[in-house]
Amino acid sequence: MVTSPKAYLPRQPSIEWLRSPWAVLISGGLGVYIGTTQPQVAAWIAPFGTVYLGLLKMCVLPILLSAITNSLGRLMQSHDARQYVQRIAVVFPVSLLTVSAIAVAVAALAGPGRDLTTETLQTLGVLVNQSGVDLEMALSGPIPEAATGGVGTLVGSMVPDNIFAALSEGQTLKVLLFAIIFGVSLGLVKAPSTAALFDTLDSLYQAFNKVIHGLTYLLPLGLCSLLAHQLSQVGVEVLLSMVDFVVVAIATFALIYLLSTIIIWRRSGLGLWPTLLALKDPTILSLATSSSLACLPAAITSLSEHLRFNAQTTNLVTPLAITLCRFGSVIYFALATLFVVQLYQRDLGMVGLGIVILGSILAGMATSGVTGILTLTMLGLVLDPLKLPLEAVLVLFIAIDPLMDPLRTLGIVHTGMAATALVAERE
Amino acid sequence: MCQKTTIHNVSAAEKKVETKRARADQWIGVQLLGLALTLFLVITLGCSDGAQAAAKGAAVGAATATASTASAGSTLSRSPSSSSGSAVPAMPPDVQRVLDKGKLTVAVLGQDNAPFFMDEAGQMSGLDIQLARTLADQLGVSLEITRTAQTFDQVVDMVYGQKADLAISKISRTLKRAQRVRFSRPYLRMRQGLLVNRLQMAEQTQGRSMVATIRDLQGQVGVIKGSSYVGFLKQKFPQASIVEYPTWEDIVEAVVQGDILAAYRDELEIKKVVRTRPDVALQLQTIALTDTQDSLAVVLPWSSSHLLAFVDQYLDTLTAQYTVDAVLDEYADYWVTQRLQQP
Repeated sequence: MVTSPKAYLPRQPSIEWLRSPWAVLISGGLGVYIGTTQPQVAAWIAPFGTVYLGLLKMCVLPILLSAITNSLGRLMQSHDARQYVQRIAVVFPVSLLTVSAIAVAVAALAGPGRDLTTETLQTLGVLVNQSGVDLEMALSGPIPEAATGGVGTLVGSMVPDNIFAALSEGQTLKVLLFAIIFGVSLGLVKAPSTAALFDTLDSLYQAFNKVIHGLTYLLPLGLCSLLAHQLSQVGVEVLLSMVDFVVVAIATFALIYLLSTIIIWRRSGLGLWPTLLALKDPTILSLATSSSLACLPAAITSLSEHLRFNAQTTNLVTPLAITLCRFGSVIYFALATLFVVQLYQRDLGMVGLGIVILGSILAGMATSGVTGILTLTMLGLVLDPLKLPLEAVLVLFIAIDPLMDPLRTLGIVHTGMAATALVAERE
Repeated sequence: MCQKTTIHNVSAAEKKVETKRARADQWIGVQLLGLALTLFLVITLGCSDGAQAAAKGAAVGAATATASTASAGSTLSRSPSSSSGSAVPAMPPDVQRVLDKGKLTVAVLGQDNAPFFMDEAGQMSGLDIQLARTLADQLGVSLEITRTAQTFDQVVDMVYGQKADLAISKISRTLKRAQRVRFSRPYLRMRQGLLVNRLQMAEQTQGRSMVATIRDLQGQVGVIKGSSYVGFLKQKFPQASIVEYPTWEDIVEAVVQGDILAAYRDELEIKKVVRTRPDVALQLQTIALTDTQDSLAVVLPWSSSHLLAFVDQYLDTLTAQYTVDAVLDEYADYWVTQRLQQP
């Protein structure tokens, strides 16, 4: 005798309201209020945000591995791989250059860091002094190894000599390269036995997608706690001193967000409102989590299910665009470099601006293997060729990073989705 | 020729030194004679084992006897007044002199140097002044500060010429100064420091680390004219070109403007710059060289050996050992007021 569980419940309890834009808006507002006025409450509810973020990240590696291997393998078998590779080879570099050039143009016109008042410089100087940036060194003895991140380390960090070590340490770039190689070789095996593996990978992908879907019901709670914690970390005084940079950064990110949205909207062929609704989840998740990887499943779902792009292409291109192109970091480094240039009153010619555009792309892409403060030290990749010092300004960027990190993540995820939309066809 | 004329003009004091040196020569002669005698005896009587020890003892005895007569003679002639017997035990002459005056005369540089000595509306304050005040209190006398000296070397000269009992004036212990005066144990151990213009530095690094670039520092480095850092610079950074400025303020301004690459002085002065002028902190990098030192000590005349022991013992009992950052933090409020006074 089989009875539906519904029979035991007096009425269907709906939790769909948790997914409504209103719930997200209210919890976001609450998070901002707590973060700015009640830092103690923010610290108290912070563990919930950590758990939520942990659950999201838990799904990333299985999805990354299964989605890329599966879609690349099927692509190789269907013989139209060449066409996609060509598109990716055009779309990714062109979009990176465009984004970097837009950021440089905005920063050069708005001029953050130009003609700062003595009071502002004093506040910034006090902050630099407090963080103890003075160097202690010996004139003799061995030269200490400097922890330098650069293009060399980026290349070195891409090849996994042990895929299980890479998986257990969460080294995304290595997993990505492994998934690509594995997917290509799996596609080249023309045996019928591969079908079973493809089905396994597919079910793995579906299962974790269900987890991600379930987690969206917890989004309002996670959003509130993550936002509150993040905002309580921002030093208000520094924020005020660097207000022109912060405003320019927000404006640039907003401009590029708008452009990306228009691209996705035109490519999807849907109405504007349905497009915006479909983009809601990845946008809010990036702002709340500040982790582009954690938003990867939501971005794929949004593109393939809500916006009806080809699932196979989306599964392959979205992870590549988000982990490799790092549009948000590229934008941020271009802005930050021009801020430093103008702070130190250096006059860049057209050649200098060209170096900033290319250097920012390189530095932005180099952030794919690293996390935390190391992300910001990649700024050195742009400043070194321009012969500008990094250490002192790094302190300032670290101080405002709790506010900038979510925007950077939004830039990475959203513009990555737009790049995917340019590559993928509609169903 | 020149030396002869000076010998004709010797003062009484120098004559005394001269005679003492002659006497010391005599004394060494007597000792050498004793030693030669002993050697001779050992060699000649070496064959008979038993006699050897006895002979040696006798010879050494003879030598010490001659030496003690000589030294007794010298003490008698040097201080006839102190030994002219009275029942009250005599005080050491250097301490006695201070007690007789009723005040401890301390030489301090004429220009203020925060946080060591600064004149705030006629009231002296600072780390060095605090130290001088406590020393005077411990001796039970009042404190007199003389500020006629205009350079650090002039302060040392005042102590050498006994125009002051001692000097506490941010004086660094250097071997050159130690030839003429005595230094107490350091009351603040500092290291040497560099104040580097970040932009100029970024031009120089060329992919090397900051440490490697500093080690073979090339470019213009500013030092105060005639200060001990001129010598340090030649020794530590042989490839750097020396630019001498009359004042420290000129050097700091030149570094801020980027006219020169770096300024070289003790780490406290270096860190003081970014504390008093935070608006230029973004342009400047402070560097402390961990394997160098620049220690501050109290300066005393070479004859004041007992007062030196007194000062050393006082410094030993100081519970708090000062460090550069502790001193800078202690006077943190002072820097803020300095900052506000700036245009």
